[in-house]
Amino acid sequence: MTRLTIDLSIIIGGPQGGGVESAGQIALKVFTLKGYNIIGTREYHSNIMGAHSYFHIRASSDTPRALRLPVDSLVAIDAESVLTHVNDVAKGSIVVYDVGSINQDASTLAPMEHSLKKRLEKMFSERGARPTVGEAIKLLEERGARTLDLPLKELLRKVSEETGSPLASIARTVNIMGLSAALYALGVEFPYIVKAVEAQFGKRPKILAPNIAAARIAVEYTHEKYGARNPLPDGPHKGRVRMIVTGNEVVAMAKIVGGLTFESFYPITPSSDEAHYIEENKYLDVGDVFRDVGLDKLSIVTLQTEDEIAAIGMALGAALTGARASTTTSGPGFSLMNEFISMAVEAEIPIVISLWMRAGPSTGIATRTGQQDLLHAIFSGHGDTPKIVVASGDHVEAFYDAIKAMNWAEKFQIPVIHLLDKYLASTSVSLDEWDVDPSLVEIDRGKRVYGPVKDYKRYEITEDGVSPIAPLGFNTMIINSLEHDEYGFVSEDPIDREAMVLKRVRKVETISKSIPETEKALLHGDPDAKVTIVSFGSTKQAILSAMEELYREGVKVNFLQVRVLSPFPRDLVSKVLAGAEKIVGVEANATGQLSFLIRAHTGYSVGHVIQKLNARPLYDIDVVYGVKRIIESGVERVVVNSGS
Amino acid sequence: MQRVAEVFKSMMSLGKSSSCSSCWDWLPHIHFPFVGYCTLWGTTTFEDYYCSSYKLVSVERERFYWCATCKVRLNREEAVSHWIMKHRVFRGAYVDPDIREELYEG
Amino acid sequence: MARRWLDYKTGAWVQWCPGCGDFGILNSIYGALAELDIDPTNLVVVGGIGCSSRSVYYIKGNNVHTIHGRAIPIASGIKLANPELTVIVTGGDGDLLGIGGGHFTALGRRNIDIAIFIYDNAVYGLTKGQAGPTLPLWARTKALAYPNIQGSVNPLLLAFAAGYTFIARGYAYHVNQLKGLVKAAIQHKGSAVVDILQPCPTYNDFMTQEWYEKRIYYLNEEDPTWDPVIRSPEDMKVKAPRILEKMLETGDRIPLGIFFQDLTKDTMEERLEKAMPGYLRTPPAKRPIDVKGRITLHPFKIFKDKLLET
Ligand SMILES: Cc1ncc(C[n+]2csc(CCOP(=O)(O)OP(=O)(O)O)c2C)c(N)n1
Ligand SMILES: [Zn+2]
Repeated sequence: MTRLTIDLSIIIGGPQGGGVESAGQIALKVFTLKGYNIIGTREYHSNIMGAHSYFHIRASSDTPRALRLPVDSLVAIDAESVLTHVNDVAKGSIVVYDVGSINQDASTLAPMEHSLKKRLEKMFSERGARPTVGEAIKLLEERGARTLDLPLKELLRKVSEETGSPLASIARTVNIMGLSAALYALGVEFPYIVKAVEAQFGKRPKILAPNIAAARIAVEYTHEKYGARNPLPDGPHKGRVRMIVTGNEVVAMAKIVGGLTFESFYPITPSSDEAHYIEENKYLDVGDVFRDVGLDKLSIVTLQTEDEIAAIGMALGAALTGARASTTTSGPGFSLMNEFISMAVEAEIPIVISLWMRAGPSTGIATRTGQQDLLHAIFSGHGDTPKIVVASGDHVEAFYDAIKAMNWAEKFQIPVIHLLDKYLASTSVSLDEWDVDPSLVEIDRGKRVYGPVKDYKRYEITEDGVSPIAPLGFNTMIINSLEHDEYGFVSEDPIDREAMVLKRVRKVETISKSIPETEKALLHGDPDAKVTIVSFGSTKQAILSAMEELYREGVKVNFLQVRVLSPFPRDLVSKVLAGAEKIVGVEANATGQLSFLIRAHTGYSVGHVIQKLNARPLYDIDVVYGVKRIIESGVERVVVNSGS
Repeated sequence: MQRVAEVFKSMMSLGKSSSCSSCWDWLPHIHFPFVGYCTLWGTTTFEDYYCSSYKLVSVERERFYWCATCKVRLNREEAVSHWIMKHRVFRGAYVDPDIREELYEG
Repeated sequence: MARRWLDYKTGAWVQWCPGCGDFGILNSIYGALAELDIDPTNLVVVGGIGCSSRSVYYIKGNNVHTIHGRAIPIASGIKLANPELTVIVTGGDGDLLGIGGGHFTALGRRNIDIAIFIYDNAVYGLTKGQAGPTLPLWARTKALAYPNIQGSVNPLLLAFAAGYTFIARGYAYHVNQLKGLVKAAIQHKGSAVVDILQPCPTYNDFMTQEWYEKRIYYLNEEDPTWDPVIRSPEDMKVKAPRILEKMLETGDRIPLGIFFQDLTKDTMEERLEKAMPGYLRTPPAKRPIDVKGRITLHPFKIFKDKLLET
């Protein structure tokens, strides 16, 4: 039996604040309702209102691993969206735009970035034209796109006249119109659009009514213009309850179900939404689950602090009392946390830091993605500071990793840095109940002792480097960031010092031994392939997707995904690399940070790298292109750059 | 609803010259300036609507203005220069009270 | 049986210079803890880095020696995660008002029930006598090559502006009076600060014992009707001008005692209890997180806002 594979990608563009977010969420819901798997991300400027933003989604009857370019439909109801994404559109795709924008010229678009204007000028002048919406539409049509010109003002006038709704809700329907037209042209039946809009705005009738009217008016217009469409068949994932969730949210959920009781943070993109989701759920009705211990509500203390130093400091203080504690941040904030990373190592305090990487250095591009903080994480903290660094490749991994990170922190009494990034943070996927099953992980709090202990030694020298840990409040003791003896008492004695340094690094072996190999690194694909891609973090799905494409084209590659980057799984990585003819690193940083680690730990050099440096997500076409270039030409470095 | 219908009835689509799009009492939507908010009638109107209370925008008064062409707030001196360049200058812009839902952390 | 001051003394050798005001402060703390009969296993002393921060070794408790300037965040986390603990912070003027100034201010806004003792010697003792944030402009101590060209901060006014609900000033060599202030600060529900003037005989040859003792006097001795307690917003209006006047008094006369005690504000812990009833019964340190090691919560059961039925 051959199953029809449906695989659709859409970009919805618009000014930030103009309704792109709702439209994107509705698009995700429509396809989920239709029975497809979805993935969708938001891309936006570090700006509050007006700059260009877009939602990029992909729906597939299979599992859409990564976003796909070019797209099958572009919803571009403002001039900037048409012009920005003019090269992101596939042949045969549907481009929805506003007739009223047709004469707009890139040079007059205030929010558009100067460099993009110049590029467009150049591109269109080569065709002897101005970079106007009209010219862009012409170009798109030449390239085989089907264009749909919405008379936006007229349609909106209809919505307004029909519903009499105030401007506030009318203007927001603009994107819903564009989206509904595109969806209808793609074959989505109107009732699905209605259902999705209801799911989005159902609890707010004042907003719901104009949005439904807008969708209907746009669909009617599209129907008149294009005639009846072939309906899109239902996907294979119908008839069950699904979850649509971002990376930020899935990590928040994992922390909550995994027993977090304290999270302090200082707001910073792209980490704040994680903290906000915990905050929203900090007082949870849990029914009967904890009835035995007399609880029907679970509370989590979440606190916005004065800076990131205090954010990690408070979490460490909480951890000392026995609370499961974490903080969340990105590069700039993590810089401030460095001194406390050192303290956590010296004083052996469990702590989880979710580190959502964004494009640096410094403030860089606050709202875009990157993988530039790997070495920052590994080498954070002065002094010898062994720690765990784990990088998640996708939402499901992020969920389990976040729970495991809390276990590891408590078990080894060490900082655990959970590496994530902006791409995962703001990317939504559809999940099933079994994708995020916390019962697969047990809660492990390590060598915890409650109650008074005779002659308690907080830093008792043990074979595995881990001492029994008593929360504050049962004994007298000293928790110390200065070098100390077994009781925690400050000591500069040479024998004490050496013993404590060795104790702390002994944990590295203990950790290496106790984390299963499969959780440290994973080899995907044919073990005998001659080309081995090495990477970490959220590049995973784009690489896997590219491998499928490369395989179809007869290029055999496998992919070593390094999950735990500290302690580095040296033997495992060496074993895989020993069999590789060509090693290709894929990283979203310019200094080859993973390559550096691999070389340092294994002696193997990563001969070729594919680097993504434009602060946009990695796409499978990037990887396909990069691998082919490397195989054909043998170049050392390919910088890939799709994305707008 | 009733009131809105009356408003529509009292309006006619006329040429640009004396429509909402150049009326003192009209605030164009921040992102989609062909639709806006009439502060006089307290309702949504489109740029080509017209009513008898029409009052031409001017940049005479010392206050802040909004340029819908440049999407930027202007002081009077700036407003005058944009006005001379034939930009669409208004008394202000309309922003959805719920816009927060559409915004991202930056 | 009531506890004695010796019950709080550890066996550690106290590493301060002879004549250091820190000894006086330490003795006042011992005395206060004994009179309050605080169980050492329930006591947490958090120190930053500096001579004074070493107090954590000399007082019996569950103590934390943190890093420079960061005692307050650690102490705040401890108190919020387990409000049953008695949490105090010991640190220098440099630690708490210089490098840790941001945290000092933030604590006032939160009104977490923590007592802060500033060992205020106006110099950086541990690093050889550089100017501290409370050293007056143009003062020149032994360690300074030139007079101080940075002005000083007024800890009391800073605390007042930040929202501390208990503000006092003591003097290190008046062990008995200081003990009273320490006691009152620990007993106070909310963020309390005692700025303790303390000669540093090794580095501060300007603000010496003699210098201080010529200037200091007690508010309630000079004015037996002195009443720093705020019980209502009206009280605040009536008493604030006089309180601020006394906080501003410097130069030839330096007042000591309780300047301000505001009983009208909730502590952070009370605010959390209001936001999440049950918090005080099962604070983060005590809340069960699993049922026999198993996670029993499933995201699909609790995060219903993210679910969609297809
Ligand atoms: C170390 C660090 N932490 C956090 C951020 C994120 N961040 C950027 S601006 C900002 C706060 C802005 O508030 P405010 O200073 O009041 O300026 P406003 O935007 O209100 O003018 C934050 C938290 C950052 N850039 N760097
Ligand atoms: Zn202008």
